[in-house]
Amino acid sequence: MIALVDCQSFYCSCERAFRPDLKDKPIIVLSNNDHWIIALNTEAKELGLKRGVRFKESRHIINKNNVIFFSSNYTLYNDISWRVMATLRDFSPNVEVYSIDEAFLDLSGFKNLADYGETIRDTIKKQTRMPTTIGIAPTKSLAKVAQRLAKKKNGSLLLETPSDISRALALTPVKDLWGIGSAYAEKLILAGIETAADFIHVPEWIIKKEMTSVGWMLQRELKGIPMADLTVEVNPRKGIISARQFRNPVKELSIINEAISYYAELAVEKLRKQDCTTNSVTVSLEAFGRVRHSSAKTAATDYLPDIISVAKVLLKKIYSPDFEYWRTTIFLFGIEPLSGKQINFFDDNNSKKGYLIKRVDEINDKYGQHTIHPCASEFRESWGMHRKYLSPNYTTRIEDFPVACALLND
Amino acid sequence: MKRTQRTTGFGSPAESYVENDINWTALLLPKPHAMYIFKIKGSGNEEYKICDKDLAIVDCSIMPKSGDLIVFTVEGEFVIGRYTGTETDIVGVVSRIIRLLVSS
Repeated sequence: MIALVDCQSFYCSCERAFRPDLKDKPIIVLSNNDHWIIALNTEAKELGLKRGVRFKESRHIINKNNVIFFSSNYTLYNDISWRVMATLRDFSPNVEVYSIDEAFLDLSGFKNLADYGETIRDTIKKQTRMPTTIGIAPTKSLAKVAQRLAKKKNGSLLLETPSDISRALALTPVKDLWGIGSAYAEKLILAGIETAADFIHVPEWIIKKEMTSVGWMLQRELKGIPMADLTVEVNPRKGIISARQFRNPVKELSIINEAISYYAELAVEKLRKQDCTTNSVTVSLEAFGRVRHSSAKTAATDYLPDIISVAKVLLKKIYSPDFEYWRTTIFLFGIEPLSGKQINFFDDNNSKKGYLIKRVDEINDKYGQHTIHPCASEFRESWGMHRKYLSPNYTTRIEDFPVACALLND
Repeated sequence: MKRTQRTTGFGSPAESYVENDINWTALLLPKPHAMYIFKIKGSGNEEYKICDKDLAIVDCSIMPKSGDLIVFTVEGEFVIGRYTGTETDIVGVVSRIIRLLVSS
C-alpha cells in the first residue's frame, strides 16, 4: 500500500506556523518581487482572491477584509518542508519526496492503515505545525484519488477493498486525475467518459491509441496495478531558465551585467546540482516594447566564469543605451549529464577548474548560497529582488527565533 | 572536524585515536526535525529560574507531564509556563535552556 501525504495550503501554513495570532485569518503569499498572488489559504479563497492575479488588482479585497500578505520566504518553506519529510521517515523506510509539500510513503506490510494515517497526520501537525491530508491505496494514482477525497473532509482516507475503490473512482472527475491534462480531459468528456470509474472501463487498445503511455499506465494504476515507472509531470530537464524582473527599470550595461552574472550563478548552481553540463547559452534583454535575444554554442561546460563571459558577450550584442530595461534572462540549453560530456582536448585547464568549482560548491553548501561568488555577480540594491513583506526566518536564523513570554507566578 | 596536526618529524602515535569534535548540535538538538528554539521574554517560574533572553529548546515530539515547562499559545501569543492540563494549543515541552551568563 502507498500513502500520499499532502500539506494543506503549504506556503500559508508555513507563514502561520509561528504566528498564533493568525489562526483562522485569510493569508496570501506573493511571488518574487511581490507582483502576483502565488498561494492562498482556504479563508483567502473564500473571499474571492485567486492565484495568479496581480497583487495590486486584489488590493481592495485585501484591505477590506484585512487579508494578511507575505512575500515568499523560501528559506522558511524549505526548512518546514525538510521537517515534514524527516518526520515522515519515522513512519516508513521508503519515502519519496514528490515536491516541496507532497510525499509518497511505502506502507507495504503495515497493518491498521486507517489508524496509521491518522497517527501520521497528528504527528506532523504536532511536530511541524503543518496540517496535512493523506490518501492511502494500492497504487500511487489511487493514493492521489484518495488524497483528493480526503482533502474535502480535512482528514485521511484509506481505499483498501474493491468496493471502496470503485466508489472513490465514481466520485472522481477525469479532469482531476493525476497526469490528465485539460486537453485530454475535454476529449474524454466529449466521448462520455466523465469519471475515473468510466475511464478504467475504456478498452486498453483505445487508450494506447488515443493517449500517451502515461494514459495507459494511469489506467493500470487505477485498476490497482502499480507501475514502477509512473512519474508524471517530472520531465528530464530540457533547459534551465534564470531571471527576475528588476525592481526599477535599469539603463546601465554594467548593472545589467551584474544581474546576468547573478542569474547565471543561480542557473549554473541548478545545472551542477543535476551533474549536468550545458553547450548553449541564450540571453534575452527586455525593455518596454523591445525584446532582444542572442545565443551562442560553447563546448559542454558547467564552469560558471566561462558561462558568465559568454553571457556578457551576448548581452553586449543586444544592448542599446537608448532603452530602459526591466528584465534580463539567461537560458541554458543542451543540458547533458556530466558523464556524457564531450572532452575538449585543447583545453588543458579543465582539471584545475573542476577543483576550484568543487571547493566553491562545498563552501556555498556549508555557509549559504552566494557566500563565494564571482565578482561579476555582486548583489546590488538597484536590481535585487523586492520582498517588502518578508516574514522572519523563525527556524533558521538566531535573531529571528520566535518569542515566548514567561508567565509570572504560575 | 578532527583535531589533528601535521608533524614534520615522527608521525604521532595518537593519530588513530583522535575523535571527532564534540557535536554541540546533537547535544542541544537531538531531534532537529521536531525541535524549535524560542527566545524568552520576561522572567518567572521560580523553580526553573527562567530569565529574560534565555533560549528555550522546545521538543514537539513528546507529551507533557504535569509540572513540565511548556510553550503554548494564549490569545494569539506564545507563552512559556508550567503544564497544568488546561492549555489548548500546546507547541511542545521545554527540554533545554540556553543562557549566556557573561556575554563574551
